[in-house]
Amino acid sequence: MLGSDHDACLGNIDEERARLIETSGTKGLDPTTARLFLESLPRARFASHAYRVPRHHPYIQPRGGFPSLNKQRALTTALDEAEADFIPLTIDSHTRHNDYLTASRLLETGEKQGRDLLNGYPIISHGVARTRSLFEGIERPVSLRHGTPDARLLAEYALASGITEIEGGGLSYTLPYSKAFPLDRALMNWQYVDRLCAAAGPVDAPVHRESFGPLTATLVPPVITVAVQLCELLLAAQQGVRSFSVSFGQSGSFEQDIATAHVLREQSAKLLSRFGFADLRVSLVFHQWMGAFPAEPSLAWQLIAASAMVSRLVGAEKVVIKTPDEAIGIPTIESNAAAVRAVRYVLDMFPDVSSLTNEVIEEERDLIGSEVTHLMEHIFAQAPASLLSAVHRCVLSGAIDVPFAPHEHNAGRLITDRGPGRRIRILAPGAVPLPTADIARERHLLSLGDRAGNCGPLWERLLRDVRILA
Amino acid sequence: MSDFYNAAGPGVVLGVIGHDIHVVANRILAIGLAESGFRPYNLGTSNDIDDFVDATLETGARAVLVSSINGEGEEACAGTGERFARAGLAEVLLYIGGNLVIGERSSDEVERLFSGYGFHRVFHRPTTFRPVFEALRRDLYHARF
Repeated sequence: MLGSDHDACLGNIDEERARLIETSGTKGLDPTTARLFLESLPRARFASHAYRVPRHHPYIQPRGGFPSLNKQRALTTALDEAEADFIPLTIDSHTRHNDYLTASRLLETGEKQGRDLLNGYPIISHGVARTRSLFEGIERPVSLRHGTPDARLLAEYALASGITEIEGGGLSYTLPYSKAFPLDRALMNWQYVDRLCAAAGPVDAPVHRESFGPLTATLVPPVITVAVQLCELLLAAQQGVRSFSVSFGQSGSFEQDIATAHVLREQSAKLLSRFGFADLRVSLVFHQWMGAFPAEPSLAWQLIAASAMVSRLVGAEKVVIKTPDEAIGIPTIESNAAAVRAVRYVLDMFPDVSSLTNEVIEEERDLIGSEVTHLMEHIFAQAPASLLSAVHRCVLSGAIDVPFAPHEHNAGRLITDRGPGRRIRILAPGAVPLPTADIARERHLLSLGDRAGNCGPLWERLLRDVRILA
Repeated sequence: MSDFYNAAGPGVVLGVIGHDIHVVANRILAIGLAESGFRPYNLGTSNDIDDFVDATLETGARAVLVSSINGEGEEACAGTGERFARAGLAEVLLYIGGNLVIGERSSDEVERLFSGYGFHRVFHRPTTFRPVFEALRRDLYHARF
C-alpha cells in the first residue's frame, strides 16, 4: 500500500504557508523567514547535528516554560550553565489549543500583577523577535515541547525563532491531549508541520522531529507505544523529514523498557528501509517516569536517579528529565537546573554500559516484536490509498487504541493490567489485532509469579497503579 | 469494555463535568461499574449537565454519576435535579463525586451545597470507589423491589 503512495509528499507548501501566516495577522513573517534564519545559525544550535556527533552518554533534555520573557531567559541561561544538552521551550496550554487571544490577555494581566497566569511560554503572543532573543549566545539546540493538534502556526514561529527540534505528531499530540479535535485534521496539520520542518532546515542540518511516545503514560502497553511511534515516523518520512526521534516513557519495568527500545530500533530501521526512506536518521529518546511522582523531594530524587540509570540501560540518545517539584507543580528554575546536574552525575557513573540481556528481556522482546509486526501489517493492509487515512481508520476501528486517552474517537476497549515484575500486560485486546498466541502469552505471563499486593478487583488494581511510584 | 465483562445490570451514565481533560479516574470508574454488575455509559470528559440528561434519555439509565475534579461543578451543577425532572427523569438517581469545591470546606457544607442542587448522594474527595458502588447497589435495588 505504502509502496504505491507516490504522491504522499505535500511538495511545495509555500502558498499554504503564506496564507496561514497572513490569516493569523502576523507581521514580518513569510515562508522564507525560517529558512533564512536557520541557515544563519551555528550548527551547534541544530538537534540533527547533535545527534550525528558521537558522545558518551544520553543527551539531557529538561522541560520548562514560563509566561514572561525575562523569566524564560533566566531559565534558559540557568539550564545552559547547568550544561543541559538541549534547551526546552514549553508552550502554555491556551496557545496549545490555538487560543492566542486568551494567552495574550493572561500574559498581560500576569505581567501587571507580577505573577504567572500561564503554564508555559506563549510564543505567538511574544512573537519571533523576542523569542529569538531568548536564545542569544546559547550554543545548544532548542526543543519545542507542547501538546498541540494544530501546531502549524506554532511551528512557523518556532522555526523562525531558531528552534530546531519540534516534538509531537498527529496521534501522539491529539489522542492524549484532546477530546474532540478531529483526528483526520490533526494528522493533516502534522503533515504540514513535517513538510515545513523538511523544507525549512539547511541541507547539512535538517530540522529534527521527535514523536511523543509516553502518550497517556498510564499502563500503555509497548505494542501501542511502538506502533504509534512507527506511524508518526513513516508519516514524517513521507514529508521529507530526514532526522527523527522515536521515544517512549519509563514503564515501571526496566526489562520491558529494554525490550521496547530494541523493538523500536529494529522496526524503525526495517520499515524505513522497506519503504525507501533508508537515509532518514532515527534516534531514540527516553522519558523519565511520566506518571504520578512522590511529593517528598528525597523520594522524587531517587526516582529521577533510577530513571536516569534506565535511560542508560535502554541505550537512549536523549533522556527527557523530571524535577523534584514534579508532584507539586511547575518546577522552579533552581530545581530544574539541579535536576540536570543530578541526572548527569548518575549518567557519568555508568560511562560504558554494554547492552544488557536475560531471559525475561528476550521473552518481552520476542512478544512485543511479534505484536508490533502483526499490528503494523494490519495498518499497511488497509484499503485506503494513503498511510494517513489508514492510520485514521485504524484509530476509528480500535486497532490503534491508547488506554486512558480522552479522545472521543479512541476506542478505549484495550484493557491492560500490571503483572509480575511490574510489567504491563494486555488483559483484553479490544479491537487491537494481535495474534491469538500472543494474547495467550500475555494472559499466561499475567497469571505467573508473585502478584502479592496487586490483588482485588481490576478497578482497585488500576486505581493503585496510578500512584504506583508516588 | 463490553468485550471484557458483558455486564447486563442496571444502566449508569457517568462522565466528568466542565473543562477538564483528566480522564484516568473516569475510565477506572467505568471499569469498576462494569465489574460490579452495572452497565456503564461513559461520556468521558468535558460535559455539561444537559449532556447527562440527554444520555439518560437515550440509554434509559437508572442512575447518573457526575464527576468533578477541578471544582467547576460548583457552578456547573446548579439546578441539576430540576433539569432532570423537567426532562421527565425525576426518578433517576443522581450522584456526584470528586474534588467538588476549590479550597478547604467541610464535607457537611459541600454535601448541603450539592444536595441543594438535587443530588441524592455526594462523595467529596473519596479515596476509593467502594462506597459509591455499595450505595448504588443499595439505592437501585431498594428502588426496584
